[in-house]
Amino acid sequence: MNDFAQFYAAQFHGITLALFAYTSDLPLAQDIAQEAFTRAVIRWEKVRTYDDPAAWVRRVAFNLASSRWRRRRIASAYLRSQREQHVDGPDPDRVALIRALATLPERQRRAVILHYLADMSVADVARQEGVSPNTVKSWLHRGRAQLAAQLGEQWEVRS
Amino acid sequence: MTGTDHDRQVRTAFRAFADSMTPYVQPPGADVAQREARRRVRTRRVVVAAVAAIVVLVPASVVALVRGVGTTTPPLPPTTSTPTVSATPTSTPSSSPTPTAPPTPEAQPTPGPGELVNATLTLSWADERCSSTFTIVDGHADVMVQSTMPFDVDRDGNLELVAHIRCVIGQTGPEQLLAVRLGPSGPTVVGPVLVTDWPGNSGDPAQRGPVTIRGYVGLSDGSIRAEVAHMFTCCAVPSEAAVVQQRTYRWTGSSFAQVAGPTTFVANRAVADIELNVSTLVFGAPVDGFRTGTLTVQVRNNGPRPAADVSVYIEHYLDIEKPSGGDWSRCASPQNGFTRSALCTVGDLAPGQSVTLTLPMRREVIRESGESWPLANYTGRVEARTGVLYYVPSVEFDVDVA
Repeated sequence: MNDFAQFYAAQFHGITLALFAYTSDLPLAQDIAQEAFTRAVIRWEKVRTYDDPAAWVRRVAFNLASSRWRRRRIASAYLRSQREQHVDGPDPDRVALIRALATLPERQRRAVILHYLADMSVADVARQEGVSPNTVKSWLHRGRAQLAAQLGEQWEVRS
Repeated sequence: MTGTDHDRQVRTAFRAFADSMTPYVQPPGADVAQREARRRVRTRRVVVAAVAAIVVLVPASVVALVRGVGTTTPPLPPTTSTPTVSATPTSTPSSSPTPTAPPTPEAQPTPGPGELVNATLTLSWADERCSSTFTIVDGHADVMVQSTMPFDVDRDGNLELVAHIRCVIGQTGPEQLLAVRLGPSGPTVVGPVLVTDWPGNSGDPAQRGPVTIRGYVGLSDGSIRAEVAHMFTCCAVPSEAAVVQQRTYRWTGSSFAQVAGPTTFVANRAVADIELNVSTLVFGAPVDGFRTGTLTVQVRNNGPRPAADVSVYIEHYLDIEKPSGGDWSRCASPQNGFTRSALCTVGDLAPGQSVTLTLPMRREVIRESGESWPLANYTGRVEARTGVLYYVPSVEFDVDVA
């Protein structure tokens, strides 16, 4: 196995799950992750020398997700009426965390996912998002409280 | 509840999410990414097909978009296989076939998509990204069954299943109608009725753009009539922008052959042939704490018809400033000041006409200290658009430092 294939095998799942948490759409998350890895392999000679090549792919992927996100919102109503419904993965509505994340503002949601799912430090999230560590801390604080409240409610309802 | 409790609860929820969702992730594969990367590097000048209004009518060139499948059918299953579902044909062949409802046997359930669950079928596609074998396990597949129709394709009194199948590439993908024989040992392929091409970005622009199967019906003489549309109806592309035809196919004893309807598509008058040429964004050495660079985007109409209301969407992952000058006056950005994207108006383009946008960019050197990788590792992309939102390929550009 070449080193890109090893890198891909080690990182694809993690990055896709983070995108899934962010977009609530698993097939879209897989498409975006694949696109980000394709861009990585185009410049793999450079990317492989980075301290953390996965951070590069993750950043490209999240940028793609944000821009597609905007465009898809325009198209989604149309698509919903066109696309047949297939069982193509878990129903997002059944995933409590996805539902709770969807209530967070976009940047807060991204910070929470990068920190808790992608295991990025506050400093790394701050660098990726181009904001100060204190801003990230405050996003995490607010996001965490809101998520905990939502998840708590769901757990109470279930039990 | 304290912040530490929240932290623990959220951490636990994310761990449970990762554990339970990991099995659902199906990586397309590193080899697919590598193949696609090679293809993109080869195609330096990407020509995109975009939707545009029609101003002048020109003689339509004739192109074939639905492949004949007669000689390329997969091997037939042995004729001794025993169908499990049988029915008496409900009508006799007539010289003028009419649509007929699929015959429904009374004693047995009508076969449907469920017959294909856990079946492994060999398929042929026009795109290498599509699997040549097809298995649905618990609804997971990279090909999708859009619908099925029980129909006696070979007029032997037993029902086969005609399945409308799509290879999933993004939100669309090539499609086919596949006739499947149902037997005690599971379904086997009789043959493809029709397979749509997936022409990609090269060659005659009139041949680009996918074909979708909009519907199909069994006729009383045993043939199958399909409605095919050139250019998918997806992503807010108006359905009237497609060229729609009806084509009829019949089983010949060894394969399906087209027996009625047009065999080629006329050029879609709503398709414009727009080419993008994008420079590398090269930033110079810092001057007074700023680097400056210029992105040049050339938009050219290669098609025989005028392209109306063309714009380009530019996206990069750098926070930059837009100094005055250049063609920024033609562009709108979602945010003021810093921006990572812009939508620039090109306007109408006559055949052969090109417009070049010169977009100067400025960036504070101090921002680089907070970044985890150097400026030269960034990329961006440019996408051509016309009056309606359309799912088009885009051109990537690199950022570099002189």
